[in-house]
Amino acid sequence: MVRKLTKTIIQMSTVLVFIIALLIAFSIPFGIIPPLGKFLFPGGGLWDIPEDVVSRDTITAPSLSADVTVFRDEWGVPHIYGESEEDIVFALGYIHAQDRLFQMDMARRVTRGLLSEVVGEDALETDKFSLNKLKDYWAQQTLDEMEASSDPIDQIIYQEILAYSEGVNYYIKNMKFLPLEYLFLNFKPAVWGPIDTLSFIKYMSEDLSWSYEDLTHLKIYESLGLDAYLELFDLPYQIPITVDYGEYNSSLSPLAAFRNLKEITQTQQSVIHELSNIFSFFISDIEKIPGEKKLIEDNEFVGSNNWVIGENKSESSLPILCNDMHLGHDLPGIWYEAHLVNTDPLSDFNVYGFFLAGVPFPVVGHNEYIGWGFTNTGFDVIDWYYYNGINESHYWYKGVETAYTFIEYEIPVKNQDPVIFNVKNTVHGPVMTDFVDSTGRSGHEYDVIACKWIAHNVSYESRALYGWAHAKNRDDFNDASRYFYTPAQNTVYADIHGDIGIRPTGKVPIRDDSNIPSWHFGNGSLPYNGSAGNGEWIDYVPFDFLPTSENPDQNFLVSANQISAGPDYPYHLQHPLDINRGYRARRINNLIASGEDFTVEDMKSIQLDVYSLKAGNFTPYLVDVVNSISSRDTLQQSALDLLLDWDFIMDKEEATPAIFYLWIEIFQEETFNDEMRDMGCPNTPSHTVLEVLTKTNETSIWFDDINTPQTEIRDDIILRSFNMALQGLEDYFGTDDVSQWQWGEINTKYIPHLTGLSALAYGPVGVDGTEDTVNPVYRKDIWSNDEVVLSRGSGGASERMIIDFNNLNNSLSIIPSGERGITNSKHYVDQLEMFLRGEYHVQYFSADTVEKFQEKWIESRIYFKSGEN
Amino acid sequence: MNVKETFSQILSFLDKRASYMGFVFCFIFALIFVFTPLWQLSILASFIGGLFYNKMSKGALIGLAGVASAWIIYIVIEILSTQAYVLFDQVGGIILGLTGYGWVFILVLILIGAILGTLGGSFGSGVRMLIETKQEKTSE
Repeated sequence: MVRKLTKTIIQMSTVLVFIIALLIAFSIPFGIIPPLGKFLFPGGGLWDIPEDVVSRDTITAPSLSADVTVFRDEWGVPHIYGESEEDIVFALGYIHAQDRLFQMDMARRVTRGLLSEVVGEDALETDKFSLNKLKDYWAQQTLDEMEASSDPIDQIIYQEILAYSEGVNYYIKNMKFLPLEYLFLNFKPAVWGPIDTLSFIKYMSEDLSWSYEDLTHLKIYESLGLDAYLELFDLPYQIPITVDYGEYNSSLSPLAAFRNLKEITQTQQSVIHELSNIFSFFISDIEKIPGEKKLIEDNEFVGSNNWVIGENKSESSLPILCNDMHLGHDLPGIWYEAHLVNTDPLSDFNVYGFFLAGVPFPVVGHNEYIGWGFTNTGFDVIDWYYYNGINESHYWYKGVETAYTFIEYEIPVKNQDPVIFNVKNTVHGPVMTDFVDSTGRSGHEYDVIACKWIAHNVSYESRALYGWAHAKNRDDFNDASRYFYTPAQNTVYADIHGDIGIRPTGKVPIRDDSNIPSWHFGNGSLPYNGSAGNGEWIDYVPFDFLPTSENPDQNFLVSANQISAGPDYPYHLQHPLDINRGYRARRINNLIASGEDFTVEDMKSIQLDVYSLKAGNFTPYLVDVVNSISSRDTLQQSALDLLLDWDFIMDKEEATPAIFYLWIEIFQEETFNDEMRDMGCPNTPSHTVLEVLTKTNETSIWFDDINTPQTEIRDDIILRSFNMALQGLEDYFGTDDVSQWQWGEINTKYIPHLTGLSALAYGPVGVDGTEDTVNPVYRKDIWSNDEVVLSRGSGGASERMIIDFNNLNNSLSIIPSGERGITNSKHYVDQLEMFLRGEYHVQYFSADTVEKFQEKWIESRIYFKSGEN
Repeated sequence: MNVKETFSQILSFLDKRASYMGFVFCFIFALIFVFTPLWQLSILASFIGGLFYNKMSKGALIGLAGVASAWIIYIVIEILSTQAYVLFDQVGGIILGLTGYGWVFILVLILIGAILGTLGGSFGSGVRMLIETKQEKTSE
């Protein structure tokens, strides 16, 4: 008996040990893997995440003044009907949180330096750097000023932002499950505040206007010298966005002012060299900061197209407005579509637009009267300053020992005490050198670098967004545009009255360059001596003097990030390196100028156009050279046959685009890289400059390879590049059958999830186009270290919108993701798949009352009831 | 009737039906508990099932079968009626770096359920054996 008892107890003890071990093992996290029991086992975690919203839901909210009805259509787009705008944006906040909560949460944490709170001390440097950019500080200043404002419009906007926050928080408070990302990262969303909404403006401003180009500019200038710089970084073939400031002339480009510079002395050269070294070290250290490298890389993806056609171009005689903003892609996508309708009989508020989840106002879109769309201006709105430091607390400014000012932050950090962090400021802006360790030189240990950025201001962009959403005509639109300080945008406009226009809009500084050294370009193009008081911002370009065009004779307007205005425009707006080289602008202008009676279908075909103007311009030179070879081998002949028969469409299923694109990349490298590497120049001149040289100067010194004894000319480099391209493609594809070298096999699109987790990403999938086609794909080079590499483009059109003012219900939209960020939702990538097929969806804009929204369009519905729960 | 007698009668009642009642109780409780956020209760379900047997191996077997079958039914229904498989595929990708292996995760999950059931069931039987041994000792 005792023996049996002992045996049982031993067995039970063993079992108990295993039970306890499993209980512990499944209840604690392992590295990034959350407690598996709560995360994976039936009854909770993943199993609680519904694939989609319920088909019918009723929610009672005490803060509503009246009932609100939300219908989601088959793409999950909400159509929100309420009797007041505060109620409508409350519902929008709820819906945004329902669909995009993790994205909203991450965006505010990244912008406001709150990542460490949920990720831990690994994110501390990222948070410090983010706070150091003063986005949170100026968002808070804007909020405080808005709250205190006696302007009734400001108060309406403030109250709507509050109502929106309440909607977000109502969802957070009552949510029944946590999205996968929260479960995996093991934290819960915090309360949403109005500051979070306002910080989004700073977030977008950072994405589109924060730039280190001044430093690159300096390095190019230092390495090439003035003459080569002016020749190789010129801006040929530009077609100004606004048509009223003269024909573009390369000799009058933004570089023109630099042509007046006198020869640089040896002493000046050594000053430039020393400065260039300091900033080179600075930028290489900055790239090591997590998040900053991505921001710099994503800047390469910033583009966009918008255009509008007027009565003589449109079949209906009323305008059609098109917009596709190009950004780095993520899942979920940056844009969220929604349709808001105020059903109060006294209101005609009915707007369909693309929102940032986190902001209650549409960024682009249309109402019943007007429509508007954006492209980035590339205005030069950030300057870099270097200072002679005295010690940790003081620096020289205009001959006076000046104390730094400090802004103190307490950064919450997961699993440890908060960390105190002080942002150190000069008179211009935050000191950035505390994050790097390589700028200190002997005897200059206290020297610092700081920046001044347009987003370091109280700004009322939300008032512009509110104004555009409510505008009824051109005057209303212009009034609202005054408030859009940053990020500056080429805002295209059209209305039901037949008016069209475009307005590069934003606040642009005017610098005092009266005391800069003679070698300096001025206009904020190079870093300034902050201690000497160089490059002070003394004013801003007055809004009424910003370039604009309205109802031009040509009956259309196009922007694709090219130069804003022609030579007659008096103010400096853009940094030459931030101006797009212009192939997209040229193509769109050509297409629209040469046609008429355009319809919405025609506009779709332009947005989806993958004709390569670049290929059209370069290929004849390539063909001539290959044709001139007396004895072509099989590979050369096969490639030539394809090139001769090519229509310059960058079709993913064809081989010719792969041959051309690889060739042009190698041609560019073989032309410039020998000298650029030798001189230490960080950038390679653009394809448009290469186009000029190819067309006009076949014996240019740049075609000569300085590493060979003989002198090469254009055709030598064309042929060498062609042979290298064929060899590279043969090696990559493992076949000499050129028809197998499909463009889509090396030119792919990959949409990452915003956490970077590849399992939540989409692709890679082969796609048409290049970075220079109207329908673009932005990516790294496919020719790297003398071999072909798979290109995973992760930038391009972040939305497509076509607004037909003849029949607004005929307007179309698409986003390259889906409305919901819930990774198992059918609306996670449904629109992305349509987008890749070149499809659009209708907007159901005519449903301006609940009754008009047809039953067959409804996928799900939420009834928000006013009253206590 | 005193407590001891009542308990003996209950055990006797259970014994007569133990061949299937243990499984039924374990299965029903496990099925109920998968609708709660407390996964630890699956051990309790199998523990209850195990109480029907006075051999730990039998308790283990019934715990295994009861919890595993409850989890399988829950998982199959969820996968057929929702996009849960997509989530498991994604989680598999996150943890293993490979997509298309969500089914492996699900099999492992069922295996874990079976292990929890086995342990809970055998512990339940063990408790029963201890009680019975104590009773026998007392009656002697």
